[in-house]
Amino acid sequence: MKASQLFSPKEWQLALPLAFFLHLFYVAPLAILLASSFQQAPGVAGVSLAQYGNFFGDAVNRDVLVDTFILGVQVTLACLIFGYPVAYIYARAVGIWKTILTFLILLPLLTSAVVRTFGWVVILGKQGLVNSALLGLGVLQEPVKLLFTHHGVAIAMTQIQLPLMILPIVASISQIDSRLLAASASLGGGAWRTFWKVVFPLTLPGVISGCLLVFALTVSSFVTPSIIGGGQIMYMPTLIYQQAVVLLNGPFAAAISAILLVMVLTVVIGLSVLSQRSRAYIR
Amino acid sequence: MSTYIQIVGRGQYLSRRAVLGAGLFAGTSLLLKACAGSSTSQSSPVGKQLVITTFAGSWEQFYRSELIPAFTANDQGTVSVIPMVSLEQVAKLKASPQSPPFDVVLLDEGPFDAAPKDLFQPVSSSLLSNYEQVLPALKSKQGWGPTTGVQAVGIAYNPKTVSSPPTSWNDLLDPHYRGRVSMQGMKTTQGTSVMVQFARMNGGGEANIESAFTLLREQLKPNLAGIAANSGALATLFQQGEIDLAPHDLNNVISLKEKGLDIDWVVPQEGGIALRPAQQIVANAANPELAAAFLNAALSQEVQTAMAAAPYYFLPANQTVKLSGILAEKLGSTTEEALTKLILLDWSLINPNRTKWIERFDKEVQA
Repeated sequence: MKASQLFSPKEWQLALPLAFFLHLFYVAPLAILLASSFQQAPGVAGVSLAQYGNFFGDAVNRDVLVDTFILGVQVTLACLIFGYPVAYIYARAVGIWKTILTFLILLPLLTSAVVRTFGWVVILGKQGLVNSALLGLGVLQEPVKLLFTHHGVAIAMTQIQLPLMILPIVASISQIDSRLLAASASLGGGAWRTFWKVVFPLTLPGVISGCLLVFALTVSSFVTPSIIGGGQIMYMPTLIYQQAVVLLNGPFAAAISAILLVMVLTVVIGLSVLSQRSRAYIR
Repeated sequence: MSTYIQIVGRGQYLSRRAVLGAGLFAGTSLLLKACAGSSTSQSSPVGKQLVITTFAGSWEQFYRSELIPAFTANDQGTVSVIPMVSLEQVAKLKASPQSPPFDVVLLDEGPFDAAPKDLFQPVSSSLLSNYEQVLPALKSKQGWGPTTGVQAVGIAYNPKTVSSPPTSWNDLLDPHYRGRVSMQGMKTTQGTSVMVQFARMNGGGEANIESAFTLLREQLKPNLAGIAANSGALATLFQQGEIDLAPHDLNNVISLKEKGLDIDWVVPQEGGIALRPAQQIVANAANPELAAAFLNAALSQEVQTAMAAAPYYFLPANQTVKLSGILAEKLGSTTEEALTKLILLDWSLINPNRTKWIERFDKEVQA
């Protein structure tokens, strides 16, 4: 008892080392970034909204913002549609199958994004796997252009982000009390009814955190969009890189970063509100 | 009853946590202290160590397998290599000019010309015993480091699909190759060079690129399969049969060809473009003499001979080195002869407008 008084049980103190670290290396740089986005030009003093005006004043930039958002939504939905059944199967799997599935789900995380992206270049090309297969089966007469298109980027990103959707859903499915399913069945609920009325609502927190992860990482990813999209399709991270590193226009790059941050935060807050409602529903 | 157990349980849980937390915190602060201590003791052996940059790919390979072993063989010091593109190197130097992160950098002429010159220090030719052997056209009039090796940009093509080899830059515009052409964007030295070359062929030049943008909009863009992010991406596109034609470096094309790819390279009749990356000593470098010794090693006949051979194929700056093999077949027996087939662009005219052009190019090519 004495010992516990000595190290008074204030849990927040446990987070101090991390808080210190984050303030030094994350919060402070972020504050500097936000401050510099209000500069009129590099090195000019005073507060101005000129950079934001420049961004929204140009149709190309607005398109980049919209495209990035659409990409995020598409990839998130695709990951959800492909990932949920896999997570469901995984949660029901037993024995060796569980090990095999774990390996398969985590496989994409074991190679670097650069390597996987070059793999996708090979698959999506005009003479790549997808086109050869579709042409061979007679589905297509002409190869479709996937490389250097928005769709190509969305396809590759979906594969790359899929584990981040599956893992949180797996966590919430495996928390479901199996007696609930038995109860539903004994009350006459069929498989589909049980799924939609019991299982799916109970896994909503997992679904939402998966969506959060996938959306935030998709709209901020750099390597895959720049290689699969080529220079002809730009997203916010490529625009930031171009302004910050190539054109050395720090304040404008900072403004674009701030706009991207606001977009991600809006989605995060929106989904968090949903998540709280879904938790309330579960209780 | 159950509440009571919970309280006791919680109390124990917390005390264990508290001890653990305190321990972690102490550990972290010790670690921080240790880090702070070691950084001061590190400054003494810096004298014998060089931190240098190079470009990823062939250049890095050349540095690691030829240049650095040749330099360290004389027991002059140790070298650590950081691969990085020119613009990023300049950005890093600008961020901390007083204590620069590198001693020697390798920069394309464009970014070097555009960079503030107080980031670098001129190299005294008395420290470079091999300076005499450098081809005069590749020396800097202002006393900066001379060109290390020349890269020739011409047209790469797929001999399987392109029956008669291209002869002119205009072949990239031929409607026959609709959707079968690629190039790098203007943020790369190669992309900017090609656009300036198109301007030169159509009444413009280094200072006036308008005609090249007209060409891009009307003839080049319909032919483009896509803009390649870098030369690695360009290689993949050729490998996948995705494109037939693209402006590319001779050295990259040869190494792809030797790996069995269907690819070949020609100097267009209007002239290829010479890219002249050069090593520079960074201002406030810890040991300028050692840095100069490194530049000297790079210019030595031995290292330059290796640079002009497999698998690198850069045109040597040292005029005592003779060209052989594919390099000689494509460009002549010496670098001097090769330069007669290549165009040297004036980057001091390009740079004032380059950022505007990069932005404009990226907007114009948006799908």
